[in-house]
Amino acid sequence: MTYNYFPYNFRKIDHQYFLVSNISGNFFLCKKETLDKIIHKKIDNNLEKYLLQKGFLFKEQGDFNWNNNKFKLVKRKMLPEKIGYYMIVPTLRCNINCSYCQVSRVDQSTNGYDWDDNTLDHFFKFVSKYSDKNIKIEFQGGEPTLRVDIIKKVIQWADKNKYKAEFAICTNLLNINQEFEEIIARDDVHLSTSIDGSYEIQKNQRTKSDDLAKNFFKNFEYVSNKYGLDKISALPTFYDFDQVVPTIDFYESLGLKTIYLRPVNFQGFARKKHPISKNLTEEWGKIYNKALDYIFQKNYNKKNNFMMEFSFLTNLRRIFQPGSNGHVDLRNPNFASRDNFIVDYNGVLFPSDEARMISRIGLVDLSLGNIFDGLDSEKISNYNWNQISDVNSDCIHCSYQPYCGIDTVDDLSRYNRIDLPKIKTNFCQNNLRKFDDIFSRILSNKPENILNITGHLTGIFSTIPPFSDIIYD
Amino acid sequence: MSVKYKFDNESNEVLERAFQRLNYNNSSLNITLSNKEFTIDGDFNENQVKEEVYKTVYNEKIYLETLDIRKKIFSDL
Repeated sequence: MTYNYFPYNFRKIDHQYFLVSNISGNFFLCKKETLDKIIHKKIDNNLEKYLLQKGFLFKEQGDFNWNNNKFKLVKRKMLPEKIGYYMIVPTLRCNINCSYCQVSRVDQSTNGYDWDDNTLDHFFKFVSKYSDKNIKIEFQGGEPTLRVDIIKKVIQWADKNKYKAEFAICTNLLNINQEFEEIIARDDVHLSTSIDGSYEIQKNQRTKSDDLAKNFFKNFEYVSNKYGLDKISALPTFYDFDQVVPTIDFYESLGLKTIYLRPVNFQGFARKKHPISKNLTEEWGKIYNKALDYIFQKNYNKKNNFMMEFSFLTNLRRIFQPGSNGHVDLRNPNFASRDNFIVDYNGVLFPSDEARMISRIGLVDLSLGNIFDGLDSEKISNYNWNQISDVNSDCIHCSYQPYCGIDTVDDLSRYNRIDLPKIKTNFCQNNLRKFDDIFSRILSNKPENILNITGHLTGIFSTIPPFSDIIYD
Repeated sequence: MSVKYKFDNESNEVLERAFQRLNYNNSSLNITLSNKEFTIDGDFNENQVKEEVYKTVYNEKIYLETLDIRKKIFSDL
């Protein structure tokens, strides 16, 4: 044979099919007899033609196939050069006390946990230095609407300086006053909130009172009726897994088109209050797959108002849409200080919200500088060396490596170390299960799976998929 | 249970690396390698172990055979 193979791996998907994927994420499915021929380089003309077509072979460095492979690889790994996403914490104070608050919070009446004018001024200087004119600012907390004045000043500054900005406000929706509503009314402002389930669940897990729960749902209805459901998104956190299916139904009844199924996260205050969340991988995996079946069947029986599951969407895009590198929970490399920062209530910078949480509880200090003195380059460099899976011996032997991500913060949070074999970590097991599930669904050829895969990828729920010819045998 | 898998046609380097990886990822199994033959003792599902050995040996073979190309690709980015 005159051709060379690009580096590839294989993995068994079901009782007869193997996934074969190469370094740039090209893939196909075949039976063991075919795989053996490929491994032992006993391929006939038809198979050689197929492997060429699938981007597994090249003749020499720099030829068309080499450059095609290189283009896809770069696309899968490329991160923006400028910081385009800021999550800022104008106050750490909050007016409710959720049992598994994943972010740090202090009581509403506590002093010393808010941005002041000096912090704002330095934040503006920092953005001017590290970003271009396209930015997204997410207001986190605590409860950011306790400082609507800061939200307003940030938006006014972006307007005045001609930023093409989008704003997301993560709020518990308990305070909608006139000042906040003027902000909500802007087209470039989006709201995000937490809905854990029905009224009773929301009361028990979040608001802790009837009045507040009623107020929450009244305000949710008010915003969605007045501004439309595109204005607001919601996500649940599951602690009681029996509530997953009822919550899917509840989201549907609210008219929400996307749900993000995720268990209580072993982060922040949840570490103490819900220690069971450390090892839920297997149990959650079974619940998640059943929930996905449930959503898929419902969508299959519908003509419109289809529902998407965010985490399925994220993993699917990583396979089929090279360049889907915007989700920090699933990308590789996952370098800090490249395209996003968390700016805490005191101006300290973190690479992610999870990093902020484990720093706050004193496990390890993952701050990477602050907006007053600048970035800590040495720490960023040390951090980033562990945020690339191409140098991890487990990952480079995995068929899902081109699609998967890396999250050493999660490893630190769960195991207090980053050198466990990846295969033994929650992050790895969770994503192995998700990718296995996706390829099993593709192989199943069931119309409800094809419709939902197509719908999640293209937004058009159809049984005519946007992919073809991915099975050799 | 005890099973044996022999790989006469694979190099010692491939098998030694596969042996290390199998041990690393399967601490509950007692695995030995001698004369290109893996012997695995323990309480396990035979089909699963057979697949694990197949996957590990041949992914290691592929890795070694394409290592130079991997290096060239990354230095060309």
